[in-house]
Amino acid sequence: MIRTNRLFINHLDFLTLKSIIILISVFFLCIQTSFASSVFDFDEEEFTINSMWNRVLELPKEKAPKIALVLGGGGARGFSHIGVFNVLQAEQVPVDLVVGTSIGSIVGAFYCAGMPMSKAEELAKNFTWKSVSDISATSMLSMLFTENLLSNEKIETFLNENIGDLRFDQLQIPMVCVATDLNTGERVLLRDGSVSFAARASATLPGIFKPVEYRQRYLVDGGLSENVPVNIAKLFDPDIIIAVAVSADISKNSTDNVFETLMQSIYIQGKALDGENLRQADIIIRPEVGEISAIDMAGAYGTIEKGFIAAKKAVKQIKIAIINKTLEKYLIE
Amino acid sequence: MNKIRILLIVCFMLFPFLSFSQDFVESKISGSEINEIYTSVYNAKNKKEKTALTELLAEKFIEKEQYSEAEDIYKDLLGANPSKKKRFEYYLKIGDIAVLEKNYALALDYYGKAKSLYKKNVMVNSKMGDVFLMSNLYNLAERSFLEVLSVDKNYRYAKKRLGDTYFQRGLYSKALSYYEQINNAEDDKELIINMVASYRNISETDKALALVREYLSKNNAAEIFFLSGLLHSDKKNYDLAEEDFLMSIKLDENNFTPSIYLASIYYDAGKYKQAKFYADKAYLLNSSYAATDLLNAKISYKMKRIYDARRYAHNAFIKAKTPFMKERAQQLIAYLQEIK
Repeated sequence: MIRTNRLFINHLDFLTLKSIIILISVFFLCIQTSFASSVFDFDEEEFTINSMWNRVLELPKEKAPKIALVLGGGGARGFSHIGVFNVLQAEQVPVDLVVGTSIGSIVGAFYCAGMPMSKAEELAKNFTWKSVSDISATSMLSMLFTENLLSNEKIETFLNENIGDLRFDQLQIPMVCVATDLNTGERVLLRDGSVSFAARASATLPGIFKPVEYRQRYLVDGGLSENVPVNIAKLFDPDIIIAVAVSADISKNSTDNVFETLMQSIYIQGKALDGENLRQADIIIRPEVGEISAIDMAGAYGTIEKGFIAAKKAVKQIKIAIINKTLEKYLIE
Repeated sequence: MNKIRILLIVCFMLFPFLSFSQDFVESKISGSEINEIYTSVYNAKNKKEKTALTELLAEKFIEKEQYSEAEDIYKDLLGANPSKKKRFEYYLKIGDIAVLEKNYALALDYYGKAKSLYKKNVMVNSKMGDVFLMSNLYNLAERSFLEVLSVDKNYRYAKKRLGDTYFQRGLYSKALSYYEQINNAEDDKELIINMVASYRNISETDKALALVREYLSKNNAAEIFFLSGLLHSDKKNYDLAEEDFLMSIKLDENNFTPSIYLASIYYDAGKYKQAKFYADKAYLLNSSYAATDLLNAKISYKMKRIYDARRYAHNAFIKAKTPFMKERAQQLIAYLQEIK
């Protein structure tokens, strides 16, 4: 790998410098770029947004627009939701409802239960498949011979240990977890009973983990029916829907083994679903995590910053949407 | 200019046998200092002295922003078969001139030639990094500065520019990881400004405030007082923000931005008279912004001057440059129209 990089760099040094020079020539012919900037440069839009934002924050809850946050599925990529929450908290963007699928349900549960995001970051740093399931090389091998699926019951234990064994009505912010009925393909909304159980059902990867039994249904990952469940959020009639999509870049995903091929099949199906769903969101946050495999938990922690960066870019748009949905009389009085 | 170039080439080729018209060159260059250097070049006793004086002449042309004259001289010096070290130096100089003329492609061409002589040289890699950064080619800029740091891990400039590269890409934590390694950062105003913006972007307001406090304990700068005001505003410490904005205005009275921010703080605090005073001051300094009219409309509304408020709101609509600003002006106009 190192050797390849070196070869690439040498190749770049000798052959592409000319191309870069041409590129820069074209760039500066096409664009008149000003590099002059000063602390005193005035961005009137930012100034107006921020001064109105202060008013929005002072409004009583009933006068402020209702905001739903939709957290998509994507395994390890979904830890970028933590970075998104970091930004929303820092900017004091109010969230009135969280709708999550799969990892979106797990991270959403952290947030809605009131867990500090610094703790969520620590959990992401040490997160392994082993800590939330029976997955191991031996168990995978045994699964192939015995056809017995693995258990992800440990997700419940993991959540209970970290947020407590909470019911939905005990959450600080209302939340809905989305799962899929394996027999009918229907989406199933989980919003009562145990939060940990619901998040586990929402994150049950089909073909690897045993479906979770729930009221005469067998539930698997919500990503099969609603990977970014904007449609579900719409049912609750919010004023603004912010969707966080952590979909895979299917052109870059590896298909070297059975597990990765299975994941790729899910991604392909999810891509079609996501497009339809995302069109209905007011704001879409897309952390640049498409190249990270859903099963690569070693990469989970690194996605937090990607979520932070993507959310930071969307903050202005979010504030504009909220201000524009607030009645003028509330902004001026 | 080509004539100067030809003369210099001939001079180098035939030295010391040839003499040429001093009057001609003197007519082409301005300034007695340059003329004196030129005379010295003409009278130089040997090639070494002539080269040194010619280099000095080129420097003087650069000082006087006569870049093409300087460039021609360096090209001539290159034509005189100089040592590898000198060739490297002249390539860098021509690259620097190209940067001054904002011809980044040419700069890169010459820096590339210099780099082919000394691949690992920190200066050429830094300069190439700068050009890449100015051209928004962040990955290449990053690579250049990292290459510098791989040779000299304490190279201050590379750390700063690598931080700038990440800063411009919006990777604020990564930018800070390099900025924070720089010694005596508190004395570098430009660095302080980028660090404060980075801390602000990652919501580390306290660290940003500590930095500006340290800077302001030794220096007075309108920009830093303004930044400090913004940080106090972020923390909703409006009294402290007011103090800092006032200080920034005191140090640089003709600056629009602190005045409008101060007006906004007074408006939020319900101090409408002061708000009006500073909004008017901002308006006098720059009347092109819809934001000033929008704020003035709101202040007038609060002062129960509905007619003025409507006028300002209409002005804001006319001046609005973005859909959001137009929408806000429109909403305000509609609201004010309903008031009798």
